[in-house]
Amino acid sequence: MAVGDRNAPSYSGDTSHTWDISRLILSGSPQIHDALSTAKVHWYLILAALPAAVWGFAQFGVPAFVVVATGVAAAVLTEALLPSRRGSPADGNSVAIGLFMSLMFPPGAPWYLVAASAVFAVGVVKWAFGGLGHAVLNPAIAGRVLAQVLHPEAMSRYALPAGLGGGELEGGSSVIMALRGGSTGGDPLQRLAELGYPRSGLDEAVTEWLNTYLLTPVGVQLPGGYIDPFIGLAPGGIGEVSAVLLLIASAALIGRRVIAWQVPLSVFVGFAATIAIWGAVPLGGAVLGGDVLFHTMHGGLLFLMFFCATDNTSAPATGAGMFVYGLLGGCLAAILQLFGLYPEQLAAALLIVTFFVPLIDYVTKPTRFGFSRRTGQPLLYKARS
Amino acid sequence: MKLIRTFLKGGVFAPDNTRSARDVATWNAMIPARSVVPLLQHEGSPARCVVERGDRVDEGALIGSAQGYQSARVHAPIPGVVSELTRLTLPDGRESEAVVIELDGEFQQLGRVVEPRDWRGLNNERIQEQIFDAGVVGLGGAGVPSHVKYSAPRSTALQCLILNGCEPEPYLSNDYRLLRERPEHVVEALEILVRLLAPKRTVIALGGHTRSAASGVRRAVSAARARIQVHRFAGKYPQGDDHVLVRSVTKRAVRGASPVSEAGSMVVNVATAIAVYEAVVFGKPVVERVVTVVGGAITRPGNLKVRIGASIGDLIEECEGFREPPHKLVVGGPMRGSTVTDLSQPVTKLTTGVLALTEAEVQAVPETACIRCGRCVRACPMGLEPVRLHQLIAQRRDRAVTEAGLFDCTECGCCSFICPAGITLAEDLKRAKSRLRAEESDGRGRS
Repeated sequence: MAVGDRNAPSYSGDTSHTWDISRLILSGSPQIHDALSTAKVHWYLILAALPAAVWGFAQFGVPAFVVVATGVAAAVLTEALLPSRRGSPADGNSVAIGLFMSLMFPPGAPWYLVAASAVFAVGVVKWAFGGLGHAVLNPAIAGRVLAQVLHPEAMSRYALPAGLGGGELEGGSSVIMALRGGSTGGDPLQRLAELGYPRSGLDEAVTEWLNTYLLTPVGVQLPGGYIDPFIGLAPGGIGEVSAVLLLIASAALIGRRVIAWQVPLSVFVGFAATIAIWGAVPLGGAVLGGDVLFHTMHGGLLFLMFFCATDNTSAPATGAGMFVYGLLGGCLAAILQLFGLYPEQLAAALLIVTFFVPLIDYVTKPTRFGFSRRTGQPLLYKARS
Repeated sequence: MKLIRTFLKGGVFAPDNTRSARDVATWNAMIPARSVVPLLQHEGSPARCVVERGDRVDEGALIGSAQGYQSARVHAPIPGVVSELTRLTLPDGRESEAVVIELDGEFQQLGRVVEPRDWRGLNNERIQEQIFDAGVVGLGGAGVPSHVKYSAPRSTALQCLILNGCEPEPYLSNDYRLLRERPEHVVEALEILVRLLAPKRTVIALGGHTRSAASGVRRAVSAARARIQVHRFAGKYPQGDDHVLVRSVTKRAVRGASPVSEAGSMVVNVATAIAVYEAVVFGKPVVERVVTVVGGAITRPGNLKVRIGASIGDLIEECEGFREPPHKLVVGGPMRGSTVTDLSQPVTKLTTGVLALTEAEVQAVPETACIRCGRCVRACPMGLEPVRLHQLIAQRRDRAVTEAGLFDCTECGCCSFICPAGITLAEDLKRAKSRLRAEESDGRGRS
């Protein structure tokens, strides 16, 4: 440059790291970033799932911890030992796969089943398809469904949380399976009471307090039995049982834009609508008599919709696509919840819907700015005098 | 309380980092002892140099005359002697000739009271001439010579004239200061433009932090009894982009590859309006502008009224230098601006800001494989799929990428800003655009 150089501007900062013009960075625009990196997306997700995981360990004890530790370790080792492709264990993706998959397992699942599923999830569903960003299916979901196929009996054996006295449920089955075959006019709580399903003192106390001080003045009564699953005193997958912890974590994730709000909202809408219509039928109730609250908190929907359905890679790209995907997934999950052969297999619903994502992405391509949505042609504005 | 509107498709909420500079009144920077005046400070062909080495020039004297249809005049920002005719590379990568003036002699305009002229007595040709003579160009950074923009043939009557008072980019607050400090001049400039262009309606759009200038602007509008509406928008970026803004105000969307004039609208930047006002009312050429100097590394951020040709190093010194080691020096805004490593870069008509960003502010993320999250698709205000365009560019599928809308990209930078994989989407799209444009004009040259 022909123009003479000027003296550098004065510097009044910390002299331990003096400023040097040669250290200035040259880069293309934009010059700033919102700081949410690939690794941060995954580690924030993992962080958000930890409270629910710890709650699961506290309620289901050492076996639960063994399941999750095995799942995470197998997932990370698989990625570390395979020739490096896209991504590395440091980006958190494999940790997230292992963690989310094993949090959907029943607490007593055998360790070799967890390990095999994790190896399949990371080694086949993710790595073999091209690594980070190339998994066509959601690896965590695929691993969970594989376990279901390999060992349906072990994957259907649920335990009562310590807060409800521990031990296995009668018949070794889950709350959802307990609803099969009952005839209580569509009321799932009444069916549980019939089966002698325990209820904590906390549930009774909180329900009574709510009814006395908050709900009676507005003319509503909350039956007992909803508070237990809300705080996490229910049988289920290790990380799935505490509704309140999952809700708080996902509010933080949505607030930080780690997950898109469209997915959980639409999954919930699809699920709730289907449950509201058909939910009471298997229990001998009427159409439109379903108990949405009960089914939302039992069966693993919340974990699935916040941590699995929102998967960056397998979910659709546009907001409209997310709604279609979520509604379909929610509907299908509700159908499996009500009529499926095995409990806790909402993951399968999501796996099925993922197959439709390329089609959904195609149909919901964004309308380009300045183009007609109908004709796909650029908009023209005629001269108006 | 009127609802604050925003646009629905795409966009990002960037951090509001304007505060440190925007609450400080604009101050006058020192007159530089030496001024480096590029002859290319606009979009189009460069001005032709009309001075020679050793010539003595007055303040505001013509040093570059417009050549060709789209060009603009360039004037001497300081009185003095032409010491050198040189070439330099501008921050945006363009090469330009430059006239170097060493300060000497007397200021004929600075500090003197000039009687405002009654422009209402002038006819439209005369007003256009004034704007041309003063070398007014789009001072928001686009740099389209204003006389070209205002006289371009229109197939239809101008439906809507919009003064773009929206936050142009995060960090920049120079437009806001002008709206706060000189709302009556902005309104008078709009009245001049209304006379010149006869729009069906006139709107002042405020968005983001500039909304807090609304009451002053409204007062100025009613004091002038002007028929101007004031619209307010949320601080979502890029609300201040022509296409997005015209869509927000008039409900008419025009694809990014076409000018907004196709929707019968015209968007005028605040600084440009002030330049029009000074050109028409005082006959004053564009020899100074307000520049935002801000960023975590700047000791005393603010908005400075600077003579064209002063070096950005001088500006930073005026703001008491650095208080932290800067990681990036940016000329322009953080979303569209260019990095420089040369503190002698001169301020031009298009310099909206000088940013000294620390590493913590830049928040760069390491590049990883694309995780196909679709964030870029959701962030694109033009409804494009940046990730797909990026793939097509890598595969050199030029026709497919053009069909997928590459030329509708307005280079707002939202896609790169949110990409968790740190992929340089916006930059690569911009490069591909200039490559394809160059290839096309080569092809035309051969045939």
